[in-house]
Amino acid sequence: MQTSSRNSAAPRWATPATPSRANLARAIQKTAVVLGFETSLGPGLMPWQDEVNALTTELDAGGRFVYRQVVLEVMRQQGKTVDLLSMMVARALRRPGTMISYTAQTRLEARKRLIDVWWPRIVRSKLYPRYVDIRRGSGSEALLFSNGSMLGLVSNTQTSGHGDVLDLGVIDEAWAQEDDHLEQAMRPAMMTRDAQLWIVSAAGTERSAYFRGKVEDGRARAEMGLTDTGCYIGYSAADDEDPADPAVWRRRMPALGITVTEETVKADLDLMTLAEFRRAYLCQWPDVAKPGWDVVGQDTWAACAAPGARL
Amino acid sequence: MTGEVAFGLAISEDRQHAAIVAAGRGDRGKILVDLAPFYDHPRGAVARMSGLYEKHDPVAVAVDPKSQAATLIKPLAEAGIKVTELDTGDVVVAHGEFLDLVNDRLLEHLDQPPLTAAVRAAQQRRLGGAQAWEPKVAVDQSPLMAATVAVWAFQRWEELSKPGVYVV
Repeated sequence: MQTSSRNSAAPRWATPATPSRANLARAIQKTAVVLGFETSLGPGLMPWQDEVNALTTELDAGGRFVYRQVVLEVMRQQGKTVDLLSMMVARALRRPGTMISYTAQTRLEARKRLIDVWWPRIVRSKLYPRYVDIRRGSGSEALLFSNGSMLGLVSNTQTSGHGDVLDLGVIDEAWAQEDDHLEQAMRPAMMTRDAQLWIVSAAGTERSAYFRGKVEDGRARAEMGLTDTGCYIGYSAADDEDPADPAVWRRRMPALGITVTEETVKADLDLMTLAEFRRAYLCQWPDVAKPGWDVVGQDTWAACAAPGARL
Repeated sequence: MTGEVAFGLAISEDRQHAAIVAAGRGDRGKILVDLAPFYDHPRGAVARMSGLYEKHDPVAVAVDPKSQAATLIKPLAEAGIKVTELDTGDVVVAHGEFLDLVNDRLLEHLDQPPLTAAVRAAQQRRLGGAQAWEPKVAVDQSPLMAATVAVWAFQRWEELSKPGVYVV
């Protein structure tokens, strides 16, 4: 992948791009502009978002998505939700009747995002009222597009997705999912469609077995250079990099210097626990960010070791 | 293993590993836990436990019936193994006693990597007004859960086997 001109951050792992394939990056960029997103670089998305969209929406010769699964691992406050909204709206507008399901940590979080953050932005754009309306009813909140497309919410306790078919499922903040029940709910509805499942998050905790599995699989696929079925893009700091070094931040955080300042990151480093900073801001997993021994102390366990003992 | 032992069985959340841990008095008088009996795919657990049962005549074979290992109870019984099932109260007691033994240095282990990795990553969950091990963590907790129920079962046997005066 190319890196942005203002920011040297590149993903540590990424499925190789296939430039000969068409993609939807330009349409998503245009949608972001229509939605009023802008940064210090100008209207629209940041370069890293554009590059992610180009890879993840690659189309085959028949115009179908190459990747049925997209795994995006990126630290907090880098603009992933902006990118997701732009991508989802672009997809809804692209094909009439597109069914999209979105979920965050909880249904409440997803609802807040839809009604309190996304909807006011849509209302301020030229998409409203002609192209998009909202349904606020509790339990059935959704963006309703005039072409019959719909963007609805899925509860993380739900056992089935919206409706019979699903064209795009987005599991945002996937670190909060302890197992694959959401994916199991969505996958069958995607079987007959040119569909994608997006799984997006910063690194997780000890309980984030679902996303951890996706990340490990994605990194392995990226290392093998596979360019079919599933793609992975992961921004993170290496295990041995100094979490307090601004040079590391510049090397690893794709929005630093564009929408996030070094001063903000430094302030958050001072205010957060180091383990949480490493997880959320550097995408380091607990075996690196949090060395463990939360319940039983390392010294205590070591003191109980008796390698030569016998029963 | 030459002394009396209890065995505990557990299965990982992803059901890729089963652990059989032996607990008994070590040669220094402390309770010793040993993962050596079995740490492999669950499909081999019942056969391995049958062999251990015949060879060591354990004082107990313990399983938490509200865990992934619940699927072992029926085949173990069919193999002629008497299984001790923990209820919710037993599970929180087992957890608390295990922690107390560790903190008081009254428990010994053989520094076996899967058990140490499980202890390192261990988290707790609320259960019945107290706490128990959280099975849903990224590192397989089956060695720790098997060790915990094995120690619990061994201590219950020790209590019952102590000389005393009993009113019938």
